[in-house]
Amino acid sequence: MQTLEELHPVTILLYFLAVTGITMFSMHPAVLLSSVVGAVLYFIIRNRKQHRKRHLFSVILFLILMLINPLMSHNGVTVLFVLNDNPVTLEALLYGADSALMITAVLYWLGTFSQIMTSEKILYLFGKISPKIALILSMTLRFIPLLNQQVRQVSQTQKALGYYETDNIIDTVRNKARVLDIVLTWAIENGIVTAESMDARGANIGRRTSFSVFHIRKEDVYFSMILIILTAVTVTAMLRHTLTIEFYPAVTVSGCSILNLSGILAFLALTLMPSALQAEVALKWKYLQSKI
Amino acid sequence: MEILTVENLNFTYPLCQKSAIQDISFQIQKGELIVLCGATGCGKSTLLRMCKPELMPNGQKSGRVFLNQKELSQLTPEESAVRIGYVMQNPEQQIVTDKVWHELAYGLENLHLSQEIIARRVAEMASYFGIGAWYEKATSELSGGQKQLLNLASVMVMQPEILILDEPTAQLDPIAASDFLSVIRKLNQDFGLTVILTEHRLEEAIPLCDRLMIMQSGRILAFDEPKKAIIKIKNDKKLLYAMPSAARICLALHPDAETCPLTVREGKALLERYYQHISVPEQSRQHSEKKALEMKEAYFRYERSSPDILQGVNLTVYENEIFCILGENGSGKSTCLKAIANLVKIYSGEIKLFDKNLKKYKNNLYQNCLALLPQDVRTVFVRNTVRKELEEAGTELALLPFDAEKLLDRHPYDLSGGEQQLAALARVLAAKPKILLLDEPTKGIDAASKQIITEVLRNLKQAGMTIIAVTHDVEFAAECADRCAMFFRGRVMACDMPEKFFSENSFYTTSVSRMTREFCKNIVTVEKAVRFCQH
Repeated sequence: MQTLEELHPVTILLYFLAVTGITMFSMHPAVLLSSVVGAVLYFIIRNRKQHRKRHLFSVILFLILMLINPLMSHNGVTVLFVLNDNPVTLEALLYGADSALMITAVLYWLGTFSQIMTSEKILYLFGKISPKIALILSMTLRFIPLLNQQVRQVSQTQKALGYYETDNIIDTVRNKARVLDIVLTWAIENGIVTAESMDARGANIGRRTSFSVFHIRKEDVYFSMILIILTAVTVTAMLRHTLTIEFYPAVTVSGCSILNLSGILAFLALTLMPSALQAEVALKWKYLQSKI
Repeated sequence: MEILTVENLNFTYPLCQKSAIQDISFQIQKGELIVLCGATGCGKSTLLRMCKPELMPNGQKSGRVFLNQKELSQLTPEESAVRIGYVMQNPEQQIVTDKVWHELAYGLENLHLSQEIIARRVAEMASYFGIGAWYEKATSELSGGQKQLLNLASVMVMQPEILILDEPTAQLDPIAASDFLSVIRKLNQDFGLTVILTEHRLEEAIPLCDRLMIMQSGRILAFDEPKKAIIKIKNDKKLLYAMPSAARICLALHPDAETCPLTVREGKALLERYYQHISVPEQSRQHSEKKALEMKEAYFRYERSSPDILQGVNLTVYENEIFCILGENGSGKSTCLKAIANLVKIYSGEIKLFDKNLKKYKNNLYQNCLALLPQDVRTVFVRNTVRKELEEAGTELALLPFDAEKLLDRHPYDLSGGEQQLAALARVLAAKPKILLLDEPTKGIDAASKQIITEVLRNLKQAGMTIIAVTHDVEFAAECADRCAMFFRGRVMACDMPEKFFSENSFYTTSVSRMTREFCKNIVTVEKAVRFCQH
């Protein structure tokens, strides 16, 4: 078995579309809670102790989002207290908490998504649509570090030539502008050689293939099947209005039913899938190693 | 059977009076390895480009070029892309995509081949070239040598019949360059691939080739087996200067020779036969007592968690000497120069310039004291003509140790490597530095320009300047340095006068020293070898 990030780009894309889609279209607290749990758990498993600032930021964002809503919206029947002649209601606070949950969950999913979806995978997905766009993207990704490096080098050289060392701000700005100017010239020069190199390798022949290093394996098929079943259950529960919640005027949650419960459980399973895969792979390795 | 035939080829660039190539005819047999040489601007690049339809420059052309009896203009775009492989000089700029595997597949993608065929050919080529280990890396993370190998591999996946290389090793360090040349030789031997190669590094390339083509101002002077070709041009001092040391020594000793040695082995045999008893007086050179630079126990690292790049460098350079620092890639040579120029700051140790701590110089360090010429001299220029550049910097043209008049009205990027080096030098001399730091001044430069630069540096030294040069070029260091130092893993390992330095090294040394070391220790340059063998 493989972890989510080792699966085929299309599988990964489907997974993230499903989780973020359901998270965004459902307001049910149980759904959102499982989404947050799944997203945060997976993020922490992947990144261990890194990105601590991100967690702090998320907590602060969560609190702000939760508290802003009751200050803006004064609907709801349960008044907690009155602030500046405006009632602050429990319903508005809960609604704020609920949407804060949703945004936190989506941010964590997207954070993981951007880590997993490397440029190669994105290129592959674009290559399926248009090989030309894929090539342009790839060339851009190649060019950006090159340009950065050149700016750094020119600046350093100019510094050693005595520029940048003035105390006059206008001079400094002027020097920076000159560096940018010459780097643009350099970029064009550079582009000509690259274009020749492309031409020499038949860039002008016509239709092109988009080569990729990805293959669909049986793990992808299994994963996608489970993904589709779980998504289908959750979506059915949503469409049957068994996963709805109303905040105003008073909080009303759709009642407990088999469909409601299975919808929630299916979604919880869906959000925990990547973490479970990660754990399984880790265990398997331990087991294999102990056998060796 | 001939694979490439050129008939009466003439070419003139637009707005040029003189033709770039004149009345050239030759044939190349299948499986031959041809080396093409000549001074910068002799038309060799133009000639190579005329053999690759996609890269043919605009201009007036007459004459015909055939590939396998078929005229080039008759080839379909596919045929011309596939059958003629072309690798250019700059490793960086030829790379199109961001990932190594994608770069390898690029040409095949253009041919609209199926995934399976591409996968197979890419895999095959990656294993042949030993690219497997860095197959998934980003192309920007590769070293120069790896980049050029990747360029070669991504041309070879298309399975060309003839491979054209335009100075492919000019931007590489000597070890990467000789690895690259041995791959070329291997391709030629293993597959009978026809190769045409232009080179500055003839010491190594000439012994590999079947035939040597020598060009001068758009014409072919000689096209023959290397030994015969060299004999044909033996009276042309400038061209001869670029040839292997063994051949130069032989022709200087025996101007009437009918053949000449090419390799160290052959050169050694020749010297052994005629000149067994040579003795060279021990030389001692006096250096000034005043220290221009003193580095004591300097340590530097780029990031807190990364390893030390400089690991306790101790270095003393005296006033008015040319000091060369040699060493492998990544040994910290360039970083050492940057530390001296205060572009990176050492975290422990001390650097003194003229007995004054570097930290006390502040903003006036780069005025009247020190100048650094970086490895890529193009980063020096920020204006669109050399004249503007020099006027702005305040260079006094009359005081330059060379004639910069020819360069003035051209764009700095249009100059040849050697001219760029000179223009950049003119630019930094404006600040009247007392210490000049050079980072690989001879990289990508032909023999004639190298000679000019050596001359210029000697003149600057005469005028009282201290020069510290980082270089890979042992021949250059042997010729112009007063003292040489060897850098290894962030430290100075050996430091001595070039005669001693190179005669005690057995690998990191000039080919002349390798030829002569058995009967006389202190000979490291061709001139010396010639002088002492005659006596």
